[in-house]
Amino acid sequence: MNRIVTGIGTLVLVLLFLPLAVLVAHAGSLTAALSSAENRMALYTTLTSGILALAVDMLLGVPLSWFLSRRLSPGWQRFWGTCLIIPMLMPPLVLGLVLAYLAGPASPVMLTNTFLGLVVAEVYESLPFFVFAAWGYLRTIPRSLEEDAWALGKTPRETFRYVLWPLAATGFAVAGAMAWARIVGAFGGPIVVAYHPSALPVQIWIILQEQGLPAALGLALWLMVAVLPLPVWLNWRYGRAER
Amino acid sequence: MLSVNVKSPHVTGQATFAPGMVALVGLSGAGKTSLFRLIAGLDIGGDVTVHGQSLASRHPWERPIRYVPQRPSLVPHKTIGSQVTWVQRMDNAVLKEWISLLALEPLWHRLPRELSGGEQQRAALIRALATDPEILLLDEALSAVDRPHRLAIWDALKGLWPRDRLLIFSTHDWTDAETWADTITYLEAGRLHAPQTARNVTPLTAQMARLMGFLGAIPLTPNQWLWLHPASLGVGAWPEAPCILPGRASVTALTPLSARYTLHIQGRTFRWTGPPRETGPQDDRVSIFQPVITPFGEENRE
Repeated sequence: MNRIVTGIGTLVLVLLFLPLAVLVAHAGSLTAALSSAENRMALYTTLTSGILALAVDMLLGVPLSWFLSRRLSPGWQRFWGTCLIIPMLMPPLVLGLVLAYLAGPASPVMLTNTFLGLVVAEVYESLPFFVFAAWGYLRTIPRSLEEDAWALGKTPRETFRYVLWPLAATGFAVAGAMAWARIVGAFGGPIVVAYHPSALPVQIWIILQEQGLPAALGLALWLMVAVLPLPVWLNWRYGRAER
Repeated sequence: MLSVNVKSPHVTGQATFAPGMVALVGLSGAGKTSLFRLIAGLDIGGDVTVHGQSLASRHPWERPIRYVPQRPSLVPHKTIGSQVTWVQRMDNAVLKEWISLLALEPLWHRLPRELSGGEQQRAALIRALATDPEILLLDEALSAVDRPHRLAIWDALKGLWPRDRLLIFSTHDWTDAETWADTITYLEAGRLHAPQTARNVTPLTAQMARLMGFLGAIPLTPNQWLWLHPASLGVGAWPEAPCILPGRASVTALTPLSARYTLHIQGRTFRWTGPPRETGPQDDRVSIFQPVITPFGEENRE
């Protein structure tokens, strides 16, 4: 039994890293990918819009996940837990179409082909994942921790700062890393809403059509290099927090 | 000082407690924790007043009441020392004394997960004491502490607890209640009985009598039952005993310090182990030195 599990585990690890290996082997030169101004612009767009989208995710997702996990009765938690699956299941392409319909050229708020539109599309693709991950983590912080502090004369505000926030921060960091992965990989929404300014996934698509696979892979490798530090840092900084 | 009038699905009844040490005695599941949570304000159901003032509108952190649950939730990512300092209101010198009484110096810079169950309970106790509480509720808060430490802690509490403050501790061990409390209040199946002075407790129910160590009851009249306790039974007829009954007791020595007793009385047989004692004249009689007579018998006799 143990041997089977080890075997499957090893095989899956190899399979998971196979795309990266192919990417590195076939990407050609990293500098070549960055020689074009469009590609450099796409990298810059991805990083700036991504950081903005992540900030919005945190700004909106932290209060929402807190509300869901600490302020709702278990019955309502289950209800909203089920409901939150719907935005997560919504195909990004469909999200993009809906956004384009709502904020297209005919609407008062014009988002299509703007930087803001790109950020909004990225937020829509990533926010449900942020909330789901953060909420799942917050739910595991036992209520008795708060109650014990209250029964020692500490107000909810003091309790939050000393007891809950350090624990919750780990959850928010993990959720942030997950949201970041969704943001930088966002393709379905942006290709409809924000073909320009092109973020990396869309630019990769453009390069693939114009110059073929090797050039696209080179840019894809840059995508990996550019987006990796944030989740690695979050994981390193908060991932080891002991409970 | 503290009055409770509670009515919740888990516990009902009323009681008033004067300052001092109070034992809340009851079997597991009797509602001890429910009562403590109501008093601390963590659950609602009934009225709690302190010095005549209702606490109904006061949040747990606004009440003059501190509560240590049986399984304390120490903050997992802070050292014991940090947590104690966080809640500290007690004078530094007094706190230092408690820290050494509870033998907590070596644990001061450790995290809760590095502590055993008993050490965690000791840490939770010092955390509550450091708040300098007016009313302290201990919910079997020393149940996992090893015996030498437990006795030392109780001794210290008994000696150092201020006369004008109230400490209520729950236990299912009658000896603990008898030894450390000034007042004992009994809780059975969610019903809170009126507090009694520890020196002079009479059993209020058959279950309470058993908890107190009574062996069982024999009927004297249809409404009068005599409860038998090993400590108040004498083998043979002792002239100074207020109550002498027909019955036969036999004693088998187990060790120089203990003996096995068997008592046949009114068709019943009771067995217990106790220190060896002198037997009186007439081996077909038993003497009751401290008769406890109640209007109820052993309802649930097997």
